[in-house]
Amino acid sequence: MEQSNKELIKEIADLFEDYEESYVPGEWEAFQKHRKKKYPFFSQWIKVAAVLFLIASVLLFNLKDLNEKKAAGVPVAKNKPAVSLPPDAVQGNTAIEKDKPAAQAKDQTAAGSLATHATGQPSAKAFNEGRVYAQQGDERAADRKPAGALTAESNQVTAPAAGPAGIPAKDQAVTQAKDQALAQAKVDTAPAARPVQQTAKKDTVALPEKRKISTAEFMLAETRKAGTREVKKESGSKWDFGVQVMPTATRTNVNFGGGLVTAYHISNKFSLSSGISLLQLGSGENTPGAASGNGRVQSSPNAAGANYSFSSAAASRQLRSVDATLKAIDIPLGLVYKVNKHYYTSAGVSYFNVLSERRNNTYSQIQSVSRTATDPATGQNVVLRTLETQEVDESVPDQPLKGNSYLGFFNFSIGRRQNIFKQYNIQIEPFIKVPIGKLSTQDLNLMNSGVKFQLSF
Amino acid sequence: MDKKDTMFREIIAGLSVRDERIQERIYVHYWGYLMGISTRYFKDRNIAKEVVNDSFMKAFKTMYDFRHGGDLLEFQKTFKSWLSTITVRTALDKIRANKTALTYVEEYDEVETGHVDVEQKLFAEDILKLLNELPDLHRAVFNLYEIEGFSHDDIASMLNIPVSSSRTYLTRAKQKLRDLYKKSIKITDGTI
Repeated sequence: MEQSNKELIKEIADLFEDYEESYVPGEWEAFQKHRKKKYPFFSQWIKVAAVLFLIASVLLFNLKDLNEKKAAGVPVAKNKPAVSLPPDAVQGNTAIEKDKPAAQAKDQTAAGSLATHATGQPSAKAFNEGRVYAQQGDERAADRKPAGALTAESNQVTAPAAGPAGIPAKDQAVTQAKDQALAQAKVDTAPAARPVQQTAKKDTVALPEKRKISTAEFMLAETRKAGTREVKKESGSKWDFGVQVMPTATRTNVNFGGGLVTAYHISNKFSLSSGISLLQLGSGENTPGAASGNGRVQSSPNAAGANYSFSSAAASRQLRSVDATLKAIDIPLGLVYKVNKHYYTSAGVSYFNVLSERRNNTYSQIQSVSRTATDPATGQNVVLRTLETQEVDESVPDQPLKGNSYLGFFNFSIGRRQNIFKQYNIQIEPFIKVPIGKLSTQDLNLMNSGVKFQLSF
Repeated sequence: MDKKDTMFREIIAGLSVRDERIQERIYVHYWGYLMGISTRYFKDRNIAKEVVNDSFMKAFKTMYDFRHGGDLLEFQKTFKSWLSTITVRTALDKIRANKTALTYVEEYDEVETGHVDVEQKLFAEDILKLLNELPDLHRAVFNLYEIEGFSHDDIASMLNIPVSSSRTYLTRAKQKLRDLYKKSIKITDGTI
């Protein structure tokens, strides 16, 4: 009875049901500081992260490219002078065939340097071996014709590319060079530190010879560049980068967008794609009951050529349609399945951040209008009253989407990839974007489709 | 009362146009209420404050989509209850993050205290002190069941504990509270 009303637990529950402390001044200011500290970017963080990610990826990609170029340059420059080393620079190489021509000796130099280049490791041993063979070759053929040197150079180029472009003689030379390099690997030969000064001296002698064959060298160098590029592509970055433009169409508008894309190859068949695009998306929606009437001013036939003035207030007003133009950042994340060499299909979602929004409402309003017309027959002014239906556009200050971020769209696409030049691809990708979540519940129909044109490398 | 109505009307209008300026009003108005909830879960007042601020952050992010019928009284009730739910869940997240608090349950004597009558007016500060004597998990179960009105099934899923444990912890928490209350009464009476 009385007890049940005063039981401790029940009393506590009642006490705390609406219990509140009094506000301590300064808490709001502290909260604002705390919020800024904790979430400095808050709504912007995804955008920032995506941009940083893209920049970092591009930088890494370029850095890798630069390193490869450096690595490719160094051994070749060092190996060339080694050809003109004096015979006494070589010691303990008795196992080597002494009647090898100079061309082959140079091949070995090339093999050594290219092995270093292809694996990307600074293989000092291979380098030394190459130099040793070169020196040995010079014992016999120090005064060989430049043509021999040319052959050697050409082998140097064709060696890593499995030799499809080389002539049979060159292939043979390459094979021999490789075999010898392998055999020689067991024999520790030249003192490492010694030949530096001599090399420098001999450079001046060796260079004029090479000038004579510069055209051929140029062509071979070009071939070599192509070869190294292929090697790079095969050893392969798993990343693709590109730029894209995408005309899209919603139900009522044609729009345009563009941006950067990147893809990471998970396996031969699958890759993850992402990017960042700036989209302009226009959309409109007709409101129910707006079907009747053509919306244009309906004037009396008598009023043709007459001067008239509007005088009455609006009699009725009806919302006919809503048009909106959004500018937004779209960050897609998709899984791409490579169907075959040329075709692929992709599915994913998009993060969608609305940067700006402009809305226009179109109203249909019926007005009573007084007109003063001049009767052409009598020349007198006649006042006519008529009802007119007018279409009025009004911009709406309300921007319900602006500044908001959504997990906005499901993206589906199929595409064709066409290789152009060595490392560039053109991709043509029809797609459809279906709004999800909150975007799908908006009064605008944001479903859109179009074609992405992409240049990737 | 009129002033309060005006404020709620402004809040409703602000929500509908996504006006960020109403955040301050909401914060100042509800801070005390949310602190009242949060301090029931945490002994440390700083942690309680942190939970309240985190709750406001969550609320400010999503409140513009808060649906209501437009009726002022109904809005007051539902909005308050919504904020309260956010705070309770944020508090539970915090408790869950501190796993040791959940796994460690102090064993105290099973003393059947039964029914205890309240002979004097209760003060929230005094009861909070008693609540702070309870192990975190017991206190959380007590709050959730007796004050927030969740069922044992809900509590079990919220705290990742078996339903039977929820019942046991509640019984123990109540017993301990009664016991502590009786002791505190005796101390104030001077009988001890």
